[in-house]
Amino acid sequence: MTNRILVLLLTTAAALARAESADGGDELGTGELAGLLDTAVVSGPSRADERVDDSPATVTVVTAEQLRSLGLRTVHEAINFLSLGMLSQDPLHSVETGVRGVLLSGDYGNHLLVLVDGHTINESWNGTAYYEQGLGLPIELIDHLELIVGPGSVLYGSSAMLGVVNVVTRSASELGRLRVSLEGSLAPGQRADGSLSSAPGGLGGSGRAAVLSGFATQLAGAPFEVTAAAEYFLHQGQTLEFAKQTGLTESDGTNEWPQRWSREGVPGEWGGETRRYGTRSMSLWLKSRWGDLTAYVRGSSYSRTTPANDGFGVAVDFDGQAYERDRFLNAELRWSRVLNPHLSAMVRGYVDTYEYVGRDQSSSWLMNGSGDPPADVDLRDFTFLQLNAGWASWGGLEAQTTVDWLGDGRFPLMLGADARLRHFGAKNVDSALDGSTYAESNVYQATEWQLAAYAQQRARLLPSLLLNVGLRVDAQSVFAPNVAPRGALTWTTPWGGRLKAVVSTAFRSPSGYERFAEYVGFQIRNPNLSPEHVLTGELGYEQRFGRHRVQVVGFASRFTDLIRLESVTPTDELTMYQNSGRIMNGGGQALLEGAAGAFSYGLSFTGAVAVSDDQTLLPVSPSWFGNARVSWELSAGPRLSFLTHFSGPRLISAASNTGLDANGEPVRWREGAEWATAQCELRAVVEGSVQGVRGLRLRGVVGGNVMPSSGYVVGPRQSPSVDFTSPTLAPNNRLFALLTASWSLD
Amino acid sequence: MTLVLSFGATPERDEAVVPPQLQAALLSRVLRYDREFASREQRVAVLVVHRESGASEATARQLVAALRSEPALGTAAHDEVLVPFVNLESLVKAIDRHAPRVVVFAPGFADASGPIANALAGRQVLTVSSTPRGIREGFVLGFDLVDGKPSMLFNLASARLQKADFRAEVIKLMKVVP
Repeated sequence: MTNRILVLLLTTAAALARAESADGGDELGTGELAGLLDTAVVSGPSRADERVDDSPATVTVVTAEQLRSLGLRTVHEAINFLSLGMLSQDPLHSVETGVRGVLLSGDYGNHLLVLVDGHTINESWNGTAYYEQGLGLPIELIDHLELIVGPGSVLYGSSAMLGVVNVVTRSASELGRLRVSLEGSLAPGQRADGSLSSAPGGLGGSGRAAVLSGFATQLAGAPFEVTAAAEYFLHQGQTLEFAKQTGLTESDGTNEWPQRWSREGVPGEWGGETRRYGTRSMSLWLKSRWGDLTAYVRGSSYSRTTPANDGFGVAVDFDGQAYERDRFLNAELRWSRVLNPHLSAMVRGYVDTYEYVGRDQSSSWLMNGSGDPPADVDLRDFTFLQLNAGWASWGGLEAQTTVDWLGDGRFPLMLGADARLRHFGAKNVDSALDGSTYAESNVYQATEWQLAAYAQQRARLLPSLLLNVGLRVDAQSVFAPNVAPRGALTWTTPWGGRLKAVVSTAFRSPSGYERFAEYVGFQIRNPNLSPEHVLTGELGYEQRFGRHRVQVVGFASRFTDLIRLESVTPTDELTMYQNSGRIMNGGGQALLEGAAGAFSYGLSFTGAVAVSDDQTLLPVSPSWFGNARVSWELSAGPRLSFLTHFSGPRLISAASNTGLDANGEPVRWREGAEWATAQCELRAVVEGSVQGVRGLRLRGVVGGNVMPSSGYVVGPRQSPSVDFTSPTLAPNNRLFALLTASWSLD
Repeated sequence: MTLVLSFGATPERDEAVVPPQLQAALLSRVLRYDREFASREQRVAVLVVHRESGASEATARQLVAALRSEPALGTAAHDEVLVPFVNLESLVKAIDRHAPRVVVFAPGFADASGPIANALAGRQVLTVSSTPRGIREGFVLGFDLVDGKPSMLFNLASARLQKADFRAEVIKLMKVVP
């Protein structure tokens, strides 16, 4: 199938190139020049500005113009609708992102490094990073996104296992003096079978307001600029109906009673209709640049609640007041200067804090009870409140210099060192609903240091041959040193294509959560965890035909020492995180994109196989996925676009779970139920300026998922039983309509 | 504060610069569409001018190396000359001496572009800025980085003064500044 797609892409590109040439009526043809103007410049792969096709990685660049005209509101959406090789899924709470067929469910994004203007966003307690509204950046602030697939620890250290998302923000001049965006959306309620409800009371929706400003002048003989932004987002989801799960019981070891999932529902029953699906995020941004100095501060708060119990403590009570909230504060001061043609230097200091709170309200002793139950209450009629808190503060100093041996950019050597100190901890508090505390658990805190040194030599060996080799060593107070090398060779062919070979590595240090979290009767600590590793080799070819571009990439990866929550012994009910996972991964990617006149298009496809060491496929990780888009710039001015992203069938999140019947024999999901269907989301967008009102633009979007449900199992029944063999899957958002008004004053 | 002031005073760090390799590739191709340049030139000199600062000189040297790796400028063979900018008079003398067809200005000329453009009015010299600064003030062609992609800026009035005659279809690809 992949071969057919590649042949189709190449044939189509050649045909389009010929068509454009013929249509132009220009004996010289401006296609090559237009193609060069379409060649993105990236800074993430080498930490230096370079042509994307010269960079030592496979990169998708998403521009601000694409984000605006295609109606993309988050990095999550940009990944799905535009990237080559990345996939992002919404389990009804924070989204999960995978690369090239490897999506590690439940990792809170800690296998993918997120940078904002070169500053690491992944926090230092669990490595969390978000891609939806939780990223905490107004989409209008983004100049472009660099979606880098493949390991990237050579310059960035831990967490760049699957890739790097580099967010580059706009300068003051690009932002303009004032920019205001107001946005609202509506979505109808959904029934358990995925059908839409016409009841007005079932409507959900969202609202967003963003204000951005840029200011530039000269101060003391040097350029000075400030960019500032603030955003508020509120989403109150539509009514969702879940198929009821019945016969749920729990016990204290002596007595058994119907398990409570709702204060108002029938004991022993989960499901029904709910509106507890919502998000609230706020963010502030302030960046200033004066000559060689750059300073920025970013703060965000991201709260969300979901009706879907994922079996791991998120929103345990079906109608309870449960939520998760993340708060970030990031600050950086950077100085950089080119001292002379042979030497440049950069020093940056950074300070970050992060706080996580998960609030569960539950009527179920099994889900939230810990320690000895209070003697004077009836566990069958009791509501627990559990606050799970985690936090981290970290700061450091990084120094970097580039030695340009010949002083002409052909042989620059980058050397850098980064020293970091981090403090993290966690605490769970279980109490009665009236706030009287009766148990603290999972309490820990630690302070650790990290030192890293890296080097990268780029070399233009010939005008057509570019070499990039690098090495980073990370020493940490609790782990053995990690070495992360990378080598890349790019050859510009005589007909202008780029043939690129890359071998890269990455690691991820175990998070504080993985090393220290413990839950009585379920999970014990493993402070002796060691880092995860990945080794990837890829070979790619990219060719431009005027404004049309074709890219094909083949890749193979080996993930080792992956950290998984597993039983301490095969027969033990106790679990702990262990370095027990391995994944072999390989496949191919293809991309075709371009433009002809007012028409532009894009198509990407990734086919990948990822197999664990026990020869099983990864849950919720499809083996093929991609996206496609077409746009027309209408003569009257607005742009009309149609987008889709699609992915193949995948194992459900609880595919490997089994239950036991009365005789102790294993019970499995009914045949076929361990697979979720292929997915497809469609979107239509019209966007353009409003004539007669200077600076005003309007955008309308209609979209939704074709399939009613995703591959994530929700509800208390995460395992099959004799009377329950068809899992309940998280619903997809079937339909929404969005309207955005943006006004800018340049 | 004293430390900060000394760090802050570097006038040429005023905008992102399109990588010199890409600037050279764009320049070599866009000159095919200058009717004056394409029809007359067999071999041309290119002056690459920089200010007395590390960033400006580094970009200039990289531009020279990148331009030298281009087989042709437009369709002409070419020789690059690196020139430090001292003052307007010395620049004009350098132009008289080398008779360049193209003069490329490295970053750092935001404050001097107007006088330079005025001094070169009437000469058949294409002034090119490696940054977007200076185009409004009189340089003919400039490079900018917008949304992570290169763009070309074009001053139509300066083009007439400096006797550049770009074809309409390539001007469509540029941002024309008043």
